[in-house]
Amino acid sequence: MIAEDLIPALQGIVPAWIVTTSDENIPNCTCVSQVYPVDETHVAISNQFFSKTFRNLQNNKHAVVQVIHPADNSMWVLEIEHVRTETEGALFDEMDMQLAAIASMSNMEDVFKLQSAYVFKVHSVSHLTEAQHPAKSI
Amino acid sequence: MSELDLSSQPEVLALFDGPVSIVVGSSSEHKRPHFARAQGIRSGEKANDVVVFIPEVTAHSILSDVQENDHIAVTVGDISNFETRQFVGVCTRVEQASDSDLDLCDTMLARSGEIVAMFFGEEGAEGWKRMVTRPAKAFHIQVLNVYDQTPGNRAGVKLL
Repeated sequence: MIAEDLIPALQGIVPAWIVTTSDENIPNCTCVSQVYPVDETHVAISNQFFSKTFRNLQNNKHAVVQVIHPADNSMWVLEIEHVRTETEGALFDEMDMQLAAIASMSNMEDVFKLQSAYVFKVHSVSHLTEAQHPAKSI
Repeated sequence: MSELDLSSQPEVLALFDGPVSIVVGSSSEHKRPHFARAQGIRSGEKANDVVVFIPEVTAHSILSDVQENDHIAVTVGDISNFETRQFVGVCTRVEQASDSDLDLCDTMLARSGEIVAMFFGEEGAEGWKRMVTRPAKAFHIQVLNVYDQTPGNRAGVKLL
C-alpha cells in the first residue's frame, strides 16, 4: 500500500497535516512534523504537542493525513486508523533521531521533542494528481 | 453566548495577508474525517465569518461532509514563520467562487510560492506554483472558536 514513490513524502521535509474528529463530530486539523513509514501498511506520526488530536483519537481512531512530496509538491492523502502508541523501543528511537534532524533543518530544536509515536494502519492512499496542473514538458 | 469578533484580534486576520498554507478538515455523519487544501481565504460579511476557497477538483469530500455535518475546521499557517491559527466553526453556505475571489487565490498561491522557492529553490517551488486554483467553491464559515496552532507548547490553546 505504501508504494516506493510515496516514501520521499514521508521524510519530514515538508510538514504534513492530520485531521481527526471529536466525539461531537467536530473536526480538528493540525500540522505534524513526521509521518514515518513503519511497514507496507502502517505509518507512525510523531506526537510532540498534540492535545485535541490526542483526545479525539481516544474516541475515534479514524484520521486522515496529507503529505507532500518534496520534489514536485504533489499531494498524497492517507486514510488511517490509530492502532497503538509507542513511547520507547526501536521505532520510537528511529523517529526521535529523524525528528531531531527535521528540527535542526527548521530551527525548531527547542520546540520539537518526541513525546510518543502514534502508529496507524493505512486503509487507503490517494495521489491527488488532479490538484496540480501538469508539468510543462521540456 | 456573545458572537465572536475576529477583528478583536487583528493579528489573526493579518495572517491572511501573509504567505500561508490553508488546509480544511471536515467530517462525515459517520465521523470519518476528510482533508482538502484551500487556495485562498478572506474575511466574510460578518465579524465572525471567514470564506475559504477550495478548488473544485479536490473539494468533493468536504462538500459532501458539510451537507451531513456542518462542523468544519480551517487551519492557516504562515509558511515563513510557522505561525498558525485554527478556525473552527460551521459551514453556513457554499457557492461558486467569484472572479475576484479566484484572483485572490492566484495572488495567495504566488505569495506562498515565493517562500517555497526560498526554501526549496525555483525548481522545488515549480510544483507548488502548479497547484490548481480554479474553478473553486467558496465555503462560508461562521467561526465559533480560534486556536493557536503554532508548533510548540501553545498549540491547541484557545484564543477566541
